[in-house]
Amino acid sequence: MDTTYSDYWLEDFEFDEVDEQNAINTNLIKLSMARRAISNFVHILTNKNIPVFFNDGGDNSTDGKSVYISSDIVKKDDFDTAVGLALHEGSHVILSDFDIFKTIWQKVPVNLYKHAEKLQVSKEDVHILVKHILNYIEDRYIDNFVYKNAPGYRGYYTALYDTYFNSPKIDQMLKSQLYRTPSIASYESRIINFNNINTDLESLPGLRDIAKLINLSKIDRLTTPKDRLLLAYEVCEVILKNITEHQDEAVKSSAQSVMKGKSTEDSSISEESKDSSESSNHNESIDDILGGDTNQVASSNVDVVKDNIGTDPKISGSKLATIKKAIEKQKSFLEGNIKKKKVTAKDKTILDSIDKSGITLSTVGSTYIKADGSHSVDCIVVKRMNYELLSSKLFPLTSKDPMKHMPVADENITKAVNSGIIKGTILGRKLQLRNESNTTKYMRKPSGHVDKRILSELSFENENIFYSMNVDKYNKSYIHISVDASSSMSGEKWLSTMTAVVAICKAASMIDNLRASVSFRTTFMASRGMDIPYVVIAYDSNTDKISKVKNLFKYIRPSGCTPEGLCYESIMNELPTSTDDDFYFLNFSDGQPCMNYLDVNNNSISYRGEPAAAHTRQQVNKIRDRGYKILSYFIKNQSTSSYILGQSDIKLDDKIHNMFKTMYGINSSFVNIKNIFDIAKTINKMFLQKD
Amino acid sequence: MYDDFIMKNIDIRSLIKDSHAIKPSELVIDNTKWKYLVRSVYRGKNILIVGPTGCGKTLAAQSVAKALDRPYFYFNLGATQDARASLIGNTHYRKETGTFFSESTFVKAIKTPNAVILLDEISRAHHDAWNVLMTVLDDIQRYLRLDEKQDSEVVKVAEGVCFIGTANIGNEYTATRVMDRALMSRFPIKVEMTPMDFKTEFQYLKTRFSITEESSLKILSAVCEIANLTREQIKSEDSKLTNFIPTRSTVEMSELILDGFDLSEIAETTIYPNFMNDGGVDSERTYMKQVVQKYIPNASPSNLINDPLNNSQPPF
Repeated sequence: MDTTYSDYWLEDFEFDEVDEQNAINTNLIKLSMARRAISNFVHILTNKNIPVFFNDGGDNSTDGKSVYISSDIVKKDDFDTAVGLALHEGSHVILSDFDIFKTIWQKVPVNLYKHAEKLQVSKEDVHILVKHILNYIEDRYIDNFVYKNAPGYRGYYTALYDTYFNSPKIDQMLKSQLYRTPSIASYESRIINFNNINTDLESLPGLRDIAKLINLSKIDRLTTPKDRLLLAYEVCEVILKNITEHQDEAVKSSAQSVMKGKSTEDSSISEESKDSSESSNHNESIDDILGGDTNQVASSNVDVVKDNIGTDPKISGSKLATIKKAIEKQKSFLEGNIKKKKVTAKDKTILDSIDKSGITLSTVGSTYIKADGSHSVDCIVVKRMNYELLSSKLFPLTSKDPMKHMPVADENITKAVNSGIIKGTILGRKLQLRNESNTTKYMRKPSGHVDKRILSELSFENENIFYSMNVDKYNKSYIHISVDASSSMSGEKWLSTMTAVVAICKAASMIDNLRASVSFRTTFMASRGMDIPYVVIAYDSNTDKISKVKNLFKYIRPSGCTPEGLCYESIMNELPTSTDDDFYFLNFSDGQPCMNYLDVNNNSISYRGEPAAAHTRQQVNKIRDRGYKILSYFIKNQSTSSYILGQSDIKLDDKIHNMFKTMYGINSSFVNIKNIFDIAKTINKMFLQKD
Repeated sequence: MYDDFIMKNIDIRSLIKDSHAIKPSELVIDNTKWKYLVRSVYRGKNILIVGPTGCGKTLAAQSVAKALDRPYFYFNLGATQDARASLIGNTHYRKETGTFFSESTFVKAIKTPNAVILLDEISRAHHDAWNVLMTVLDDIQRYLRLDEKQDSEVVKVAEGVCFIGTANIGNEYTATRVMDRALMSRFPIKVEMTPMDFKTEFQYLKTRFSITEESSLKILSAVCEIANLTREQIKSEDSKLTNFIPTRSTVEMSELILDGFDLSEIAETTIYPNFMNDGGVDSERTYMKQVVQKYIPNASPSNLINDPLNNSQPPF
């Protein structure tokens, strides 16, 4: 792949090939991330928080309040053009006066109208000409700004212009005999290509004067929008003046040739009578040339003035059409009407949901080593769960009403959540000791503060008359609860888990210096028809009220596989770290990692068994290294036991039990989570654990 | 007596008037603020210098003591573990001499006439330290009680002693405590130090490191602009950054420029490591890379840079 300018900040970023019709396209998440990264450039350039949107087919022109870009980003190479467009639109926001375009017609100099009248061109046509020239000058001015102030961004501009503006057809046009007949179209086309190396300043009368007027080398002299508008008027005046002169000359030469013809036909007319009737003959001759009808004269003259681009025998009809198309594309670019790829309404809804929920992708599994190397995969990380997300296809842990597109709450889960709130209140009282502080006084020390009570003991040669105080107060704490929401957790396991999780959240909300957050982990059917790991942060007491737990957790039901370590790897980036606070990581899980995925090289990978358990253990250790104390609850059905097929003496639960121990070691807990006192006991033990 | 008073005041007034003459070149501070600082030290006032990290608070306090040729004592209250021991002293016992009190350097400092005592990072100090300082900083009491007993020995603050406190203000400083109002009121003079703006910082670093080469000046200008952008950014409500580049870092970067580092190398070694890489394309480091890229020139061949009047000379 060629090196792009975006390579400087953009590392591995590849879009998936979409071949599954019904799968949710994870590319939309990547597209959303791309939009955020590109919007940084607008922010850096303008120093303003201007929102950047994808074109959604509405009135998507940059208006100073928002910037619209094309959603045509399908590979890494497309970033340069997208950034270039964002920079171009962003610099318009800071440098252009969008209102001036609305009032162009109010300030047009009288001279321009006089020329237009002479050429029988309407006022509207004059306004359009002024607008085109002003757009060109504006674009040159803002290009100059970026070139001077952001030399490192020039490459993006080049990519933009190469995509939207420059084309070999334009080079061909500039070298040809086309657009050499003085008309509005010819002047516009030649002027907007002044920057092209093939430009020919002798191709039209007055073109060199226009180049001198614009003086691109010193374009930054035009510091105000008014300066640029006045220059546009000046340029338009030169254009119309030259077209008028050309028209006059054409008429004159045509008249002379007609007169010549007449004089050879009728030699008997005397010189005197010729002179006296010169003017009337002149009018006749124009009518003769242009067809005799005055109205026809007017309309065809307007066409000549506006659109006559001349001919070139070397350019065929089809080539001419493509050249005209290329010129039109350039004019659209100048007017800000760049053809930006639209996002569909369906995709827009998903993109909005992605933005609101803060969904990103994080690459995980690079350390999941098998015989043939590492196998990374993207993991979806949802930073804020909300009702819109639960209703969307981006959330795999709900049942949805197909008619109303709304999540459906399960009655039993609702009961479990309510029960959790009640139990949480009890648990909160049991964990209250974290609010207390203990002061220990150490007496009879050899140094410190003098203990006046035993000062007299000095006379008995007791030198240890000092004391010191030690205040033991709990630091601020953060507890993260990670819940395995795979389908194996369904039924009784899920209900007891939800009760326990809700209870801990409720208890944490009652304790001043304790922050709690909850994440669920599962898998998600991605665009390639394979599962990818999925983590959703469902609650964070820093930003959410406890009512969120009560209102939204009832919709969550287990589904998908168990990517354990892969999810831990991605959630790790979301876990806060600090030297001052205490951190705890609680896990609720029913066993071993299990999922299949396609890695970045399209290899089908099985994430299960010993290697997956080792990978999970590796991630658990990393979390521990970040200063987290870990407690992992093993969830099992209390009422039933399963046996491994063919081995009736080995309980499946026992095998999973052992695997669980492998992953979490001494931090494994096998208490009955239905018993809130057991939970309180284990959590308190973890809280009181000293480093 | 009255004539003495007049003469003394005339002397001080003329000294204050000419304060700019004793301002050290390495200190970047507004002339009026410097004049105010010099005057307040002359008058023995308690001064609180506030501002974000790396803006020169400590340097200003050191400079004023040096410029006025005053005895100078430095106490970092942010690094004090036992406030009482640091500010008052410790009681020890020896068999030969019995119990004795070993007074702290702070006690010695307050006994030194005309001393300038810097209480650095007072906003990070423990409440115990603030309690000890309450009477010392009070302009009527001006004493330090060595014990809490009413009739215990007190150490009077010597004449002309000036206390200068420095404080980081802002919620980005995690260990900073909200300063007690009573303590704040004991510092009637507040000098606010602001981080240097782009122009001032560029001029300061250019002069300090005698950077004259055009290419080096371009890099220095970029460094100052980037640093300034991070400082502006962190002040904004929805900041994309949680950290900023202080003047301490731009000083380091200037030294790297002198040692022949280009902007990319400076960014790789001293800018990017200070910004988190978590979140991939959404990370602070990505944002900073995009910021730095703005200043790394590239020779982009393009029709955009052709001048129709002189094709060989680019217009921009």
